[in-house]
Amino acid sequence: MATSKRKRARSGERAAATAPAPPDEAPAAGRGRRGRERRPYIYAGFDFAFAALYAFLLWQVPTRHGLHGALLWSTVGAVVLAGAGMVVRNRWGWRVAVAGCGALLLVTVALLVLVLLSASFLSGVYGSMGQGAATMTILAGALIVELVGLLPAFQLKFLMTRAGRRWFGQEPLWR
Amino acid sequence: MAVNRRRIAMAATFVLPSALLLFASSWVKARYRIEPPERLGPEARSAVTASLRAVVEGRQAARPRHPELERTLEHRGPVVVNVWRLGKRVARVAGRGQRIADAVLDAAGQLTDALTSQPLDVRVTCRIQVDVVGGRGPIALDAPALSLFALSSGLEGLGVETAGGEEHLLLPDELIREKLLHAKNPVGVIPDFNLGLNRERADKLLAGRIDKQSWKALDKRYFRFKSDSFVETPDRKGAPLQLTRGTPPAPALDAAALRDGAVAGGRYLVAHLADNGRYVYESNLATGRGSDPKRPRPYSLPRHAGTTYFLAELYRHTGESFLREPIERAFRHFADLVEEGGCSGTTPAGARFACVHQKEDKYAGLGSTALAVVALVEYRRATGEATYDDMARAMTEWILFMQRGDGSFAHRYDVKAGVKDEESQLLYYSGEAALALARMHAVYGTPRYRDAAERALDWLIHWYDFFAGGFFYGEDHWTCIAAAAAWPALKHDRYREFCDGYGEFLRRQQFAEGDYAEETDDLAGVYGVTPFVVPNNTPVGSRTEAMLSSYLLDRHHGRENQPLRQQILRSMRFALRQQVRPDNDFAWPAAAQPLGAITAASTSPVVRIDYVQHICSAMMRTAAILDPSISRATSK
Repeated sequence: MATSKRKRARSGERAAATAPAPPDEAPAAGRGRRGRERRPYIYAGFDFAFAALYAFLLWQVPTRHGLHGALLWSTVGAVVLAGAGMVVRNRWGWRVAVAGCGALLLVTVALLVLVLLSASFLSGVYGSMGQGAATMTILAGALIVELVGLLPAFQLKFLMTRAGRRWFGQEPLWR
Repeated sequence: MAVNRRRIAMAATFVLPSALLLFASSWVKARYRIEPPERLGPEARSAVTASLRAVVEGRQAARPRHPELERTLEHRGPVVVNVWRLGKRVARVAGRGQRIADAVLDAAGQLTDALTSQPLDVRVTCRIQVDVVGGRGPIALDAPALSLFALSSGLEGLGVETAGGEEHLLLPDELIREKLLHAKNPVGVIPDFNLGLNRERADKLLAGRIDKQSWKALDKRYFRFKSDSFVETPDRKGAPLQLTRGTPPAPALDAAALRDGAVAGGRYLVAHLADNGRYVYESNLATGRGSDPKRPRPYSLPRHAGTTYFLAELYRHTGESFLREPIERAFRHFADLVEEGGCSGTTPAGARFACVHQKEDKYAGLGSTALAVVALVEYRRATGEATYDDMARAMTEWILFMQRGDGSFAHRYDVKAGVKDEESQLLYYSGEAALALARMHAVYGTPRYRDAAERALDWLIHWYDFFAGGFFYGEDHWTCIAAAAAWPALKHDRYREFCDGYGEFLRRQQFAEGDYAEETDDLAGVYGVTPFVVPNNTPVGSRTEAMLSSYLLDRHHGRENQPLRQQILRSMRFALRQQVRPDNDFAWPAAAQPLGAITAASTSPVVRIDYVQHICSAMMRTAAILDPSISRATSK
């Protein structure tokens, strides 16, 4: 049974953590592992695909409130930022990717708060009809978690790992 | 090797679900799809009815001649012939044959026997309807969820084959007339959302003269079918009219046709207004039965008021004298309701108030009084008479009393206790109250009315100032009608912006030609969310009324909104087709006085007063936009 790439990368991480390579050998070994790493490209691909999806959805279902529109369109900017950062293999690439993912997570939280406020308003004001609308709104909230929150959460987790840092030629954050 | 296996697994992960779905959808399509019938041309249709008419008028049956009638018939047809007189079926026969012409000849032979008891002078006034039954397909009647969508409403008929190859058929338009479609309510909390076939009644009709037990014992195979349907013109001149969902094509869209449609709607409502000033609220065109206007229920006072408003509006536009007495009769009912209902007195500010209230009810609703005011004002605008001024002012005081400081309204009033219900929120009422206030200001010029209308409109459009509110609009047609009515007293661009947004939101829900399968093009102009459910007709009227006001608001602001204009015209084309006219009234009993009626949907025989009100109001106002000289109100 073939070992998965992720498992191999993790065992590589452990090896690197327990037995640090001599300083003159480290770059060559790092380049080899970095060369095999595909996750950054997969994340970047997802980021750009999601940017297109967000833009399409926002184009099709626009809001007429300027501020809320800006908040929603910021998801497109943030996810493009996260994707662009993934393919720039240096310190700045890592920082841009982390900033993009962080911004997307913050927007997710803000959207969830707004959705819950909307649901409370509809339910409170319009009785049983409003409760139906509130249920729909809460379902939309669940979709926000799936569509906006999950990708940056996983991507940020990768960016914080040794493998993620190594991809950008960075030292691990924790030893 | 491991890498290869992984690649195969990955490819399968991405490809297999799509392949399975593709296979499943292809199988469903191959098994269930019925191709639309190949429709006969005008000459072939004429040849068919000429052959049948010869028999109806007592002459010899002859095989019709036309190349199109030599087409082979699947399952030997049948060709079903219905003979109608004054909306009642005189005869129904089904002829069979290898070719269409053979089946027509067979039907003509049977018709000779079926009509023997009818005197010749009766026969000549009949209209002949023909259905050439074409493709067939299986029907999913036993799967609980699928059975709700078992038939394409109005386009497919239901058939059953019993032992010995005997067939019993219910034609697509028979399913409509017998009220067999949209008969189940799968979501209890949405009472107006109905789907599916009334199978029990359908079975009863299919069984015909066979008794229940014998029918139950029979081995039956149900199927769906489509037919090419057509009917003779009312004067039997020209080619027979092609029918889709039992309705022929609409007259050409122009100002005159729309005005005629609106006046026909007015005549229908006047014919359904009782001596006591109440309307026959709901009627079934197929049976001719309607609700009793002497009983308190079923009835809706807001709809009574809205319908009377339309009659007053029609009178303002057309000056048709037949409208005047019925309008005043309906107004007298307002006065009766105020008197009997006991909703009158003085407000805390000392002003005299009155509201429309049915004595059987605990609460008076804001909408009834608001639309009563709108109707009274409309009459004042039409006639210049001050007869109902006091009543209108007293009712407006009550509306002002119901308004809160932020512009919103209490929607119900406990008449006995003299207390506002601050909890209940009902659809439409706030917009209707805003319209009443705007119209009162337009006629009487009282600044209090304008200020109250402004507060109401601002509250209505700012209601959406929360996150989810940016994505949708509610039923805001009265809001936009009120916004246009408030012009030029209130010239805020925010009202125009809101109503244009509402128009765009609705445009996304409007069916257009070519949106779905070619067979559903007859629904172009209607508002709906899916072609699987035939949408109701009323929104075509109520939303077009709002779109007309939005269009006028744009014009007031110096803009010509072409997409909005096209949206209005698309809906009006649909509305003209839906209205009962002499060329499509053949199957509605004359006793039901069906001319001018608008049914709930193109698959329903039920008419309620507000269906006619909204659509005919939109017709009249569209006519006045297309040709201002056609209306007294716009030609000045």
